[in-house]
Amino acid sequence: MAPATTTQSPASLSPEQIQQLPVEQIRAFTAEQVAELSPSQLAAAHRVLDAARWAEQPAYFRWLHELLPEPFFQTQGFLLFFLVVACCYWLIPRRFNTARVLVLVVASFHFYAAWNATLAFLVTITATLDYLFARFMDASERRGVRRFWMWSSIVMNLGVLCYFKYRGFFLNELHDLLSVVGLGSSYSKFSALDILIPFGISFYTFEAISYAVDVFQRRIKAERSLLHFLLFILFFPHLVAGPIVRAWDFLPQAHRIKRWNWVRIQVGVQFFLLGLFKKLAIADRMAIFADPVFANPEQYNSSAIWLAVLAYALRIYADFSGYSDMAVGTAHFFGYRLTQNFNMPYLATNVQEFWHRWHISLSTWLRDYLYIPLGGSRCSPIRRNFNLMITMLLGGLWHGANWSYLIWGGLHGLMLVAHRQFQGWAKQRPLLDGFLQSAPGTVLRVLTTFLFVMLCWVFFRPELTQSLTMLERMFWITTDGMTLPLHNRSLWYTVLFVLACHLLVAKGLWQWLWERTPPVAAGFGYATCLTAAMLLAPEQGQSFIYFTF
Amino acid sequence: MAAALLPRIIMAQAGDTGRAIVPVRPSRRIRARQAVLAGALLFILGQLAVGILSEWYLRIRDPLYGDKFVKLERRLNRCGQSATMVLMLGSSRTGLAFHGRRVEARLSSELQQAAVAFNFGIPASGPVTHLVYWNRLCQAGVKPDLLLLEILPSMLADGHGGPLERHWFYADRVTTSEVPVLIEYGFPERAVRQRHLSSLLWPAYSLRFQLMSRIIPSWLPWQVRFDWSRGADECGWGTTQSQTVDPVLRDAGVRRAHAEYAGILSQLQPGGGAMQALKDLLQSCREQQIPVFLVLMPEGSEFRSWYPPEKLTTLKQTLHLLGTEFGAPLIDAQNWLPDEAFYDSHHMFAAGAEAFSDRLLEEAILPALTRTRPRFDQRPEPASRGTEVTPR
Repeated sequence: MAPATTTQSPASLSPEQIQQLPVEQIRAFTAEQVAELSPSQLAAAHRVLDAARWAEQPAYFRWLHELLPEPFFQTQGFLLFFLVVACCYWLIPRRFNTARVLVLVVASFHFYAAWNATLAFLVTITATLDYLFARFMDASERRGVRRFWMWSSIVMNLGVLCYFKYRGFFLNELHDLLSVVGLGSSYSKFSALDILIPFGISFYTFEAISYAVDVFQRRIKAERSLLHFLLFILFFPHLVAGPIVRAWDFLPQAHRIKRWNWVRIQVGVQFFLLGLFKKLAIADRMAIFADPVFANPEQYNSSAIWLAVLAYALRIYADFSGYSDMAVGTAHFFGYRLTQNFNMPYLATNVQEFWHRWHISLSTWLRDYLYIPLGGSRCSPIRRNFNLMITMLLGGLWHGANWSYLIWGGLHGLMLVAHRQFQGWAKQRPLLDGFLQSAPGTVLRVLTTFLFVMLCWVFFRPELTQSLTMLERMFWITTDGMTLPLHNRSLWYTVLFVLACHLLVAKGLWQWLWERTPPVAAGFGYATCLTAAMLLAPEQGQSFIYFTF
Repeated sequence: MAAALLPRIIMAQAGDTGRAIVPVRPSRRIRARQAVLAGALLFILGQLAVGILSEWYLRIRDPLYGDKFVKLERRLNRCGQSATMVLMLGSSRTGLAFHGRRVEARLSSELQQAAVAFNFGIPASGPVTHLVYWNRLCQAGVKPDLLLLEILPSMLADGHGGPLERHWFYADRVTTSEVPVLIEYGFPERAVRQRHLSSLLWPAYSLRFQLMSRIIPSWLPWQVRFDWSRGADECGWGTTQSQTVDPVLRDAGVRRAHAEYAGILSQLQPGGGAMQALKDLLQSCREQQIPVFLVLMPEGSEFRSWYPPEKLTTLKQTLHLLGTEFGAPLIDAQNWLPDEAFYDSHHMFAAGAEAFSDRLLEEAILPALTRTRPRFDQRPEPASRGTEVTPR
């Protein structure tokens, strides 16, 4: 391998050459240079920076990182970690519930610290401050004082979130704006290498904010035990990608004494296997179709791009709902029940229903802590539509500090507004309304909703220019360019399989079958599901999309 | 969807989770325990069965080898034990280049007796892979009258962390008894042992590409497919689906080849475990009195331009010296074919394969066999043929 020279542009180097560069040279890359790097080159640069960062960490955390290099549920490292934690947890007699909670808090801290020790301390410290702010709030009867502590908690959490997640985006936009108006800025632009977004920051920030608001509004009392509160924020199954849990739901569970329960274990196994199958056999498999096309849409023909968008729609659903299922399953092993995050969203008959079925913990959070405080729907239609748009735009921004996520949120907001207007209009036309409520009308509504949602997913990536190129090539039909990197057959079979599963569940057949399945047959089903997930796993496991949010 | 999969007992749970779970009938608990334990047991038994089977049946563990070996066995059985046999061992270049059937037909008529010319080209293989395969062939009693051994220059590189082929010849493709061979020739020990162990413990995951390639290969990207050997003809030769290539695709192919090879070739320094494996393979052939030719395969002008001249000279000198030491002459076929014969400047179309095979037959195989054949007229019985190479 030829060593890279300092005069070479980073984009002209292979990932292996980038990996051999000194860390100072990588830190000196400008934002423009970093923007030109391919994903593999960027990953190589990140690896060098990560290695340098880990070299400065205490040996204990380095060892931890080697044991659990990625906080992903489908890895062997996690399996080992989980077994150790579960054994420690269940070996403690149930009368020592606090000791069990302590085990989970310590395990959760280590789970995060294995990815980034410094940030694990940061999450723990901010969670401790949230606990204290709530205690101060609870100690006072004066509304002004209580409001002060609530805002202290909100500002701290949003401050941390903005610093890590939105600082680069806003300062870069300001930099560009100043350049456009002819005023030079005194700082250089941030590159993707300068920004390290803590895993799951958007999730635990929202949990902490909802807790502060709930205590302020006296929906719940401030938690007296720091340990239990830390578990609420740090509990490793939901720490990095949700579901976003609420204090009123979680804290009573943390206080309840847990008994070993085979039914619960079975449910946990079932959820975990279902999630694992979704992740390995569907999401990662669909990434084989979608990722190369989304990375270079100009190289593919229109049909390939349409199919890639379909694959991406399937991927993002299976990826996130698969993670959520694994999180729910893991929590069940410890006797905790987390919120259901998905309910067959692609069978929604309109966008409003879609948001009642997709990422339920986020949509209900946005409803309770943003939409309703803004006035909700108990106001004029214009104000209501404005509230919807604001909620969805901020929902989009929650996913990522990027114009494309903002556009994605805006498009969903517009669809929600359009749906409300159309709903009111159609209700006044009985013939049309009757058709829409009929079976063919329902199928049409499901298909239309899915089509719109699928098209919106084009923007659900950080690269806006690629999204626009994709849309252009989707609607400006072209046969020039490559076809999908893999035979379409496996894509269509997967689509049909997912559809069949949805219909089985929606019609209640699955539940009917389940109740009549002998235990050994169910066990055979688990073994088959796990084996199939392993067999269908692609070459390199993909990271969870929602981990970066 | 997941919610509907829950047993009724959990669905009955109240929304506020402060409340305890609805009491469960003991029979329900027993059924749940039986289901979980049965699942675990069946999974473990399934993994064990596949793991053990893969140790004995190489078509599971290494279908690239196993499928070609089955074809070779069939060919040998069909042509009879007394047939003259030419075997070419090499990479994907060989797989697409050595037209066994064509060579066989000419050989049979020239030698006036049955002949087998078999192409044992396996993608991304180098000297260590060839040595392991040679050992397997010897153990199976295969002894060719002439061995053509492809030299893929990049695979001779003495790089960091062991031979370059470690990136493709993973430890899950070898049996437990072959693991020490990889380690001896410089493959990283920890990675090799871990990968092999995991292929024994959870083969459904570790051997998934091998297994999937047998069940539904079209579901796998070409880079991880193991059905290459299955698609070959009865003499082991395969060719591309299309015999022409669009200029855009050719450029993309050449760019891919450049990314894969140019960096390595610019710093090519033969040595390390790969060279040692090549020497040991040649030594084994010498001990068994099997004549060998080393073959530098044809390449397009663009591919040839990626070699720094001094590196290429050194490489050829090294190979000549090696050939002299072990009695294995070097056939330098680098310039044999025009650029149109390749689709990415180093993998051939069928027309290129025919031209290459014809010339190889004329210039090397026939002269070698007519000269050496009396020494190999009576082939020994299979049981006495194998001489396994043990690593130094």
